[in-house]
Amino acid sequence: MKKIFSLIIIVLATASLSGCFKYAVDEDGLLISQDDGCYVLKFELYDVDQKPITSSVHATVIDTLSCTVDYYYMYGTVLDNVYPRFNLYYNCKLDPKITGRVNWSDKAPRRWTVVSGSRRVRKTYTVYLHEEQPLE
Amino acid sequence: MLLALFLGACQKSSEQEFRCDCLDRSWGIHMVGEEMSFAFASAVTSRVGKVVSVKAVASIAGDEGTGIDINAYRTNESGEDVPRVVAKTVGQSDPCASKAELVVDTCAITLRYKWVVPEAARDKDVSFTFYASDDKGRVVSCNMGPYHCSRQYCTTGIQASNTRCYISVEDMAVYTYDEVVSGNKTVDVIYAYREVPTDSSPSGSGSVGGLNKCFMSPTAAAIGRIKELSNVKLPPVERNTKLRESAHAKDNVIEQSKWHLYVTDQDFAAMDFERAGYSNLVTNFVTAYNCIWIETADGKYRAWMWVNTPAGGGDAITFGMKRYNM
Repeated sequence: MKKIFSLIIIVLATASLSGCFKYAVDEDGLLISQDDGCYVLKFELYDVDQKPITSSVHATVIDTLSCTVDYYYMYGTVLDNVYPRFNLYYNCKLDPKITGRVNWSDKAPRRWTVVSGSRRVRKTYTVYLHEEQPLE
Repeated sequence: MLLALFLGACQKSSEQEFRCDCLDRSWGIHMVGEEMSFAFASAVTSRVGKVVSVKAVASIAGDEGTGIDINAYRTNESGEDVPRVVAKTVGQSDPCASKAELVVDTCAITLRYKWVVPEAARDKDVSFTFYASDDKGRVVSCNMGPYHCSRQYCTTGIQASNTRCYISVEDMAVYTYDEVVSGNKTVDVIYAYREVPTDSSPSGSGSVGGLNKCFMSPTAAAIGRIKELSNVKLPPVERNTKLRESAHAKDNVIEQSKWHLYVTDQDFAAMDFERAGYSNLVTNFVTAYNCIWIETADGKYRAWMWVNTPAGGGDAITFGMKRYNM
């Protein structure tokens, strides 16, 4: 009898504890995990017609050590209204956030900071644009 | 009590002895020159009377081709309409009215009515009243509408090439350089085809290399952006036209896809170039899939352009354009 009673108490205690436990979220309501992983998996620019302008020959090079992205796009593409799209490691976020289309016609390198899921690691990536060159 | 019930029942049936109903058979946004079509049905209880004439009155007189169809139709096994003459047209002094007298002895009939949108109805509401008369002189009627007729202008089958490349939104036409200079034409958009061999070709364009089909506003700033376009001859007047390439907008009138999707007046009015983003240059244009939204430099016109020529090499294109006067 005593055994059963203590078992019930244990079960109840666990239930109440797990009920109290809340996942940590940041100011955007995004999960803060225990993971320090912090890197870019993929980067693409989307044109006004919602299609990526990525070169089909030159692959995008993402260097996670020197924190650079070398992105090759099709020759002659107009970069007035492009949408940058990052794929990040789990629970990572970007600073500054991408809120819409950007005018990237100056083709200058741009920088984004990737923040890890734990929000403890921050790495600043530089994105370089490379226009595919015509064949001679 | 029983008698009262009978009487009540009788009265009800006499009320509904002669009835009519109408159906709108039209597609689209009612552009000038297009036709609106209705099916008007009227019926008298069998052996009580017969339908003798049908009349339609529009609030605005329709263009050539307007009138009541003298045929009745049935559908055969293949789904085709099979006509049979059941009426004759009766001339009316009122240009808004059309009338047909039945030449067959019938108590029920469905006739079709066509109304061709005239220039006078552009950007106006139109409504219709249909009347049917029986042999006892009773008349029943049915109101349809109001329907809004479109403000748009539309041209299809415009042919452009590297020499005939100066597009005017105002005229909805394309000119050569000489025609622009001699005719003092407004040029809002220049078309150019350049094939630049590169390692990869743009997806969907179906041609080798970069640039391909390009559209630009006639300004030095626009043609100066890409070196292969810098040899484009500018018209005497530079106009900084807003161009926006976009997917997912279709129009049945121009592309003839039979999907019954239309670019409406509301689409033009709601188009927010500042928010959606625009440019003065469109390159690697994917024909028969994407479209271009245009706003002229003076803000007077908005236009929608669709290139019918399928993806592939060569500078010759056929395109259609819709214009909306702001």
